[in-house]
Amino acid sequence: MLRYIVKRILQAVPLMLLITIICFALINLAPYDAIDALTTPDMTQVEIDAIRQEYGLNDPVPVQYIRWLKNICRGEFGYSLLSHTKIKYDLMVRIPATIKLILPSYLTAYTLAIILGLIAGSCRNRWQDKLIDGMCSVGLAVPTFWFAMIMMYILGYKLKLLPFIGMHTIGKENSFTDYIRHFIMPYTVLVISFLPDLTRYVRALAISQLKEDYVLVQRAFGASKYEILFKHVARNVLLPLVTKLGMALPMLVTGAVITESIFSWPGIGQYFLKSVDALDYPIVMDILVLSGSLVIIGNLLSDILYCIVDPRIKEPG
Amino acid sequence: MKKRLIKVLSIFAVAAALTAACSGGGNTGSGTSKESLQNGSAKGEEASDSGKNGAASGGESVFTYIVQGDTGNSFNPMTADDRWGLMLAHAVYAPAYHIYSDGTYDYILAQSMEASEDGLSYTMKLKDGLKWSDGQPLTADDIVFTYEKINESTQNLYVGDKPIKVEKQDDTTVIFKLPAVSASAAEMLSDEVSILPKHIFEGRASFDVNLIEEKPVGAGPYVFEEYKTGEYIKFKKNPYYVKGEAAIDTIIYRNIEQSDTANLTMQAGEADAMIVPPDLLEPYIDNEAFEIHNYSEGRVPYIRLNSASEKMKDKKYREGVLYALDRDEILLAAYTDRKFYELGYSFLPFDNKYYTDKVQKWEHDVEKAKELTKDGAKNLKLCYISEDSMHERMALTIQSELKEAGIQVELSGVNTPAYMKLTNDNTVTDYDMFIGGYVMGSDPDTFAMLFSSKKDNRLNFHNEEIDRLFEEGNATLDESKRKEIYDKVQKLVSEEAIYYPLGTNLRTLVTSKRLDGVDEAKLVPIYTFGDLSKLKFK
Repeated sequence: MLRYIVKRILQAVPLMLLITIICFALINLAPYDAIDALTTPDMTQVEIDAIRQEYGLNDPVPVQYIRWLKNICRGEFGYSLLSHTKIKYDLMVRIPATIKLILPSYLTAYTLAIILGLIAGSCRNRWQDKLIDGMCSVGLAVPTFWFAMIMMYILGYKLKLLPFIGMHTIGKENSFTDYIRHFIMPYTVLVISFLPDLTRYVRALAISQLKEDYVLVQRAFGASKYEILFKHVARNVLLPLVTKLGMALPMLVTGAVITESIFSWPGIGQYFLKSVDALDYPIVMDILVLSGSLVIIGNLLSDILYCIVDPRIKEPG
Repeated sequence: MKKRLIKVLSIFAVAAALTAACSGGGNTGSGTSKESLQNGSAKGEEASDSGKNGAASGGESVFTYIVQGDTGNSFNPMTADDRWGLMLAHAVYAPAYHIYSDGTYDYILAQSMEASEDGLSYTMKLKDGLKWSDGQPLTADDIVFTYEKINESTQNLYVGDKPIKVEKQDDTTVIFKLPAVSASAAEMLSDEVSILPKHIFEGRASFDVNLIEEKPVGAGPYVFEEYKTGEYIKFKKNPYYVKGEAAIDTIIYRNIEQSDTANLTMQAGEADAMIVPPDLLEPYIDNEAFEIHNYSEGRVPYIRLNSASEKMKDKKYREGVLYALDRDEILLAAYTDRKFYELGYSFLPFDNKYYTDKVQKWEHDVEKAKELTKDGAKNLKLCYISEDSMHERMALTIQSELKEAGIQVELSGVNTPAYMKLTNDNTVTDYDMFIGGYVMGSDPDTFAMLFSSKKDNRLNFHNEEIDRLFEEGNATLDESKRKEIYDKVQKLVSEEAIYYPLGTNLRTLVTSKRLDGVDEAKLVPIYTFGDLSKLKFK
């Protein structure tokens, strides 16, 4: 197992390098000049040239790439072109803020999806299935931003039950209750947005598993429906779900762009979106590399977990 | 199964009960909105904590201004050039003096700024007893230090290719020596320059201030207190501010970038001020809880005909295109109501003291337009910023107006960086027209970089007479002569039929009813409030 893990990690290194090259090349191919993001109309050409020099924008692209890669490896994410501020400090605050929101939401949606998906799958075409499936259809059809705005309007503005901006009330940064009150609305929105897709996935898996011979055998042995569903079917349904969990890892960085933006949650989503809009390419590249790396790490974790969860699967190779 | 479902439901019920309990118990957050509007100060936990300072007066007063941007975790008062960075600089640092758009001076650290008779030197006299926010004295050494450091890193204080020299005469007097006469020198030396503390920055490699680890020392009305990434910047009043301690204890610039959320926050009474675009203003009109202030930032929206494009080479054709346009209709489409803009015919904002409307106005005349464009191109391409809804509405109006004159316009919206790239390149021929807008200084010489081919020539003009007049205007100190010169420049710029000014759009600030002192603070470009210390609660 250890050999396999080491081998997979070593395989991931060139892939990560490839990601950095692709990110850097794509940004450099964009038909804009980064200098435009740094200049103002009242600057003279001399000043513009000085800025170009200062930011190393005159160097050949490979030189710029190696300098950038070296810095990334040292944990130096560079400076924002627009605000001239250290990206590292922003990421240190914004990534945990996003994780604090997405992780509980996804785990809740994941757990609920398993329960609801198994119920729907086992009660195929009965009222329980129709109800769950119908709710999933509604969930998929309702845009996240609309649902967020409606929640904010009713619970936050009209009924004044919950605060609707940011992560804390100013001056109450250490209050857990205050945090939870700010957390409830974006959390609910995210759970509702993650849930339908996952539930339908579990439902489809459950339906296919219930057709398997082992279910028939269990029934013949007189196992209860509950036993069959949660002891036997659930185990087999969880296998592909493990892959889904690993693949969801990049969402920890870019999974709540809209929700964060609407609730002014100080996470990475809005930061990324704004950087793309303004072509603040050091930020864009850093986040792309981070989420790209998370895809690879997610895949790696999925493979490893798959091996651990399913003893029938032997070490590949 | 049923038991499990009941368990899940009961978890939700407990969560809901907890939420209700929290909202019932706490008097902060959205729940404070009405209360805070009424008593003018109590806000959040801080307000109640500081209630010991005087419950009758409502404790610590907090002014929350919604901004739609983040300054970032570090800040450089020397190079800040974005709106949020400049707003931060304006709160923490003070300039020597400020020149309003009508030309009046507001002396802040300086007591006077006098030009010599030959116009080659200026004497700045500082007020007595100036202090930095850390209590250290602010002297002529700080002034000299600031201007010298600017000259070391930029050419912002250059006349021609030589810098303005700065010399200390005594502790409260500084002399500025110009290499040549420059009528715009007083503006160059004014409020874009934050005076910086020598005792803090001397010996440091850069002027970068890390807002997470440091607290900048300034001489502005407020002192920086706290920065929260993506959330807010907080300031406390500066006890040593030269114009007297501010009336409001704490100012918060709250970052809410989503306009719907910002609007809801404002309407819920959780903030005291925000800039609202005309199309989102409806909930505030005739609403007793708010006041609406329209003011000019001196921004001039315009349409530029691309003189580099083959289709626009013929001046008669360009004139025809301009005759097809109706500036009132275009601005009305963009800003929804005439109270949000003033029509203008020159490149200067309508409230600039050098502004004249005695220029070629290209008043809307479809028949003339048809006649003049009959031999020219029948298809044009218009470039505008796609994410700017006002640009989009303007573009649609221009398209329909030119259609009347028999010209089809292809609308091409691009994002801001692409737009900047295209408009900064005077050789671009892919587009025939551009929609744009600018905010320049109050001295007409600051506009030279738009129209003079000897400067940046942002609008791609090639007229020697215009170049010469701009140079002459800057080298002339006599007011009436300057007026004559800039009248001529405005006329010539208009006659070139390259540039079509639409007027001056107004910026709309919505404030909560409890906020007072907006008129005394004065509304100014970029910073919004000229003197933050004058704001108070009713």
